[in-house]
Amino acid sequence: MRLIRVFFAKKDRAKYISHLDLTRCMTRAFARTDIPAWFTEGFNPHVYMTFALPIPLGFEGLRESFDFKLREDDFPLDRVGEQLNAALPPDIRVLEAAAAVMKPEAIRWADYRITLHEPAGGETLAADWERLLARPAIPVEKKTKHKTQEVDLRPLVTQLGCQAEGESLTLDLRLPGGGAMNLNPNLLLGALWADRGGEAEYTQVVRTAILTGELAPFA
Amino acid sequence: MIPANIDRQLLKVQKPARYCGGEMGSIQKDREEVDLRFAFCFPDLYEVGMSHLGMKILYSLINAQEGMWCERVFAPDTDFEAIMRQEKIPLYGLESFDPIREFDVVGFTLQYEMCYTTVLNMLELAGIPVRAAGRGEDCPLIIGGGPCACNPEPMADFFDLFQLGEGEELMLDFLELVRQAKREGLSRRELLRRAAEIPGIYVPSLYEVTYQEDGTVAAVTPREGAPARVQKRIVKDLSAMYFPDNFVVPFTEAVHDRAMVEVLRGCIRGCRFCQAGYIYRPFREKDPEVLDGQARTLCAATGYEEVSLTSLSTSDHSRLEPLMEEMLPWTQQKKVNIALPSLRVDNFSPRLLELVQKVRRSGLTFAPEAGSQRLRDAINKNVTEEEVFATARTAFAGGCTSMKLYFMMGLPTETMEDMEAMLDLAQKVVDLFYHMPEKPKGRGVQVTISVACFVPKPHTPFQFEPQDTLEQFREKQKHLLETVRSKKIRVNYHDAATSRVEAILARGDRRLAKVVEAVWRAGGNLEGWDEHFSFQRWEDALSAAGLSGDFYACRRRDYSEVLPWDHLDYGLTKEFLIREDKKAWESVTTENCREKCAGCGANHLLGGACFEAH
Repeated sequence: MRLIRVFFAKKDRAKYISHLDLTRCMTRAFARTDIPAWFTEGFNPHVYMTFALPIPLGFEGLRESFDFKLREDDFPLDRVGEQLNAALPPDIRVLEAAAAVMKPEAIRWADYRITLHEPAGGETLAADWERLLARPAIPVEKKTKHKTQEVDLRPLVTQLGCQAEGESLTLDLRLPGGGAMNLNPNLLLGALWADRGGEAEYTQVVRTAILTGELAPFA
Repeated sequence: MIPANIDRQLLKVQKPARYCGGEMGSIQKDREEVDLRFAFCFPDLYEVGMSHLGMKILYSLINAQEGMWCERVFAPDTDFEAIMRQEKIPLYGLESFDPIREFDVVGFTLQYEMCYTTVLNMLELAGIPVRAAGRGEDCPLIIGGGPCACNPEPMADFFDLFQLGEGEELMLDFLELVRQAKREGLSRRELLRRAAEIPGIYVPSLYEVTYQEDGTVAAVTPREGAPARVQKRIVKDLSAMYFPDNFVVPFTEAVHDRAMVEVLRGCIRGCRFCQAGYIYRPFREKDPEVLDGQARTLCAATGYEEVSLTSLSTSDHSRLEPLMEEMLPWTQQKKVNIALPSLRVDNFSPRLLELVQKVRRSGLTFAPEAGSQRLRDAINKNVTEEEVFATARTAFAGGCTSMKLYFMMGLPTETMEDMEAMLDLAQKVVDLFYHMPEKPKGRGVQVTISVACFVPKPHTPFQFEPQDTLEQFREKQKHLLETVRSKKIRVNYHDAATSRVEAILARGDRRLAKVVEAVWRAGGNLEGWDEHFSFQRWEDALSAAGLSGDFYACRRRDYSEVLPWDHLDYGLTKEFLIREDKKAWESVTTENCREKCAGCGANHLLGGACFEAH
């Protein structure tokens, strides 16, 4: 039995699929292949699959991953990608299947490219964004399953890039990701909307990378 | 790729996956290489429509034809509808995102009466005039099919034509004509005239309906050479019939999200209230070898973890046992569950029972429909109390502690005693539980009785019968609730107002078109959902049109009356329906078709007997 990590991109229309829908889609994709995946035992057997950092509905992901177990040690890994790609819709593409190297707990950061659009122009948006970022603290209410707590987002945000062009503003941000501390960019965007008094006309979010504490790509 | 104007809106709505297509199994074609485009519209939400087998069959069938492209269209929920109107996004096909008003044919499946206003709403969202008479030469043909096409008169003004009966062959005959008409540049009128020559196609504008002073139909007169009666189409040999080898697999969960094979069509039972039991006659079975192959192909193509053996009464398939024997090994190996939704346990061999129990673990439901044996005889529901008990006993012994019993109220010949008998039956099931030595320990039992309001339907023996008034329904519901003594028995019922509107529309005539339109204009849409239904809107529209709801819902029809659907031939003779209605009033049952032919007339569609002589 081998633990295999599948890296995939989820783009275009696939951004409208929730995490639950994505797992179901993957389960059915496995059923359309002859990949010897290990099934959970019990009343309702299904392909064992874990996602290290589930991606929220509405986001595209350039290099997402999930793990499953291969029952046959000699099943070639390139065939995993080939067969899954033949069984997946065009907007979900497997990039690579490899033996899992790191533990999911190694994930510390995620990079996002956020593009905001507004007829008033990218420069206006940039000014709004910079005003938010210049504040000493960005307090927001963060809801978890059990409680609501106040979190200051300001120290959590690392800006890698900020580019205004025409009607849009493109932000490259590094945010905490993973089990220990995770910041959903929607929380930050919510703070921006509250601060500037309204949402942008529309917003695109792409998760571009998932990184370890040493800023190495999760592998 | 999704067009930017739609893409920018979808994150503002609930369940955007309903509106973006791109699912596994959806069909892409090159616009330049198709000469016929078909929009298959299901007038309800995505998750309802995507559960529907008929749509899957016709979608695949049309797309299997070279040069034809069929796309799926569902009703948007109110949040997306508001955005579509505001942003001027016309109703589009999920495959191409092209506006459906540019298509050649827009087809609606009419599964239930409460979708009628949704049809009009979808036409408007598409930018297509809702009334057929207002459509120009450049408009797509608006066609309808499905069970409500057996009396489409209230919708006749909105459709160019209806397809009656089964679509597997009829649809292709029709689309060939459309293609030919395009080639020859035929006018819309001429195309409709020619369509009326195809057996199974009903072009309502070619029939003139006149009325008596009392509001009943005087005559339905065909014009321009249209046939006096339109006979529904069937496919004689189900095993040789087209069946899809793949389904579109939705991302977001549908109501029924699984592979399906249709094991048989029609029904041998003849329950007198059940429209499906009559309009899908004659009874035909698909061969087990064919079914097994189709189930394997579908499961492999879709990756579904469940395959359903669907029909009106799956246990009436004469070779269910060999089918199950065939399917069990591979489904168990592939970890695919077999679902058997419509079973009657009365005719099972011990081996079949064993096979079924291997796969069946869903909740326990039973539909006696009526509380007393007398009323069950009257409606020809051949279920005995002992059968209910036997099922309950098996289930309780297996650890189950709840049971759901489905009933109807307002059935012809019903009395208050029949109502109370529902509770007696439920109480007996409760008692049975406590008298079982092997009952699950330490747990109580819960029996739920779910009581629907009876709606008389066309092409059934009860098409002549009045529906209860709202007051009668409500009185009966109240009586039922007051009579329940046990906490072990729960009573579920629905407000009767929806059933009344269904009854009005089900047996309605063309004068109701203006009522349907007025209700829609007053905001009626997605009315199958309680939160969108308003009875007041229907009452207002009826009175504005000078029509009486009681005339349609609560009036007994004389056997000699010309019914609005009499010119639509579903294979059943009126004499047979009258005979069955009379037997109901005598509480006399009719044998099932396999035991003895009741002479309904549907065998003429086959050109011979439904069953080989024993």
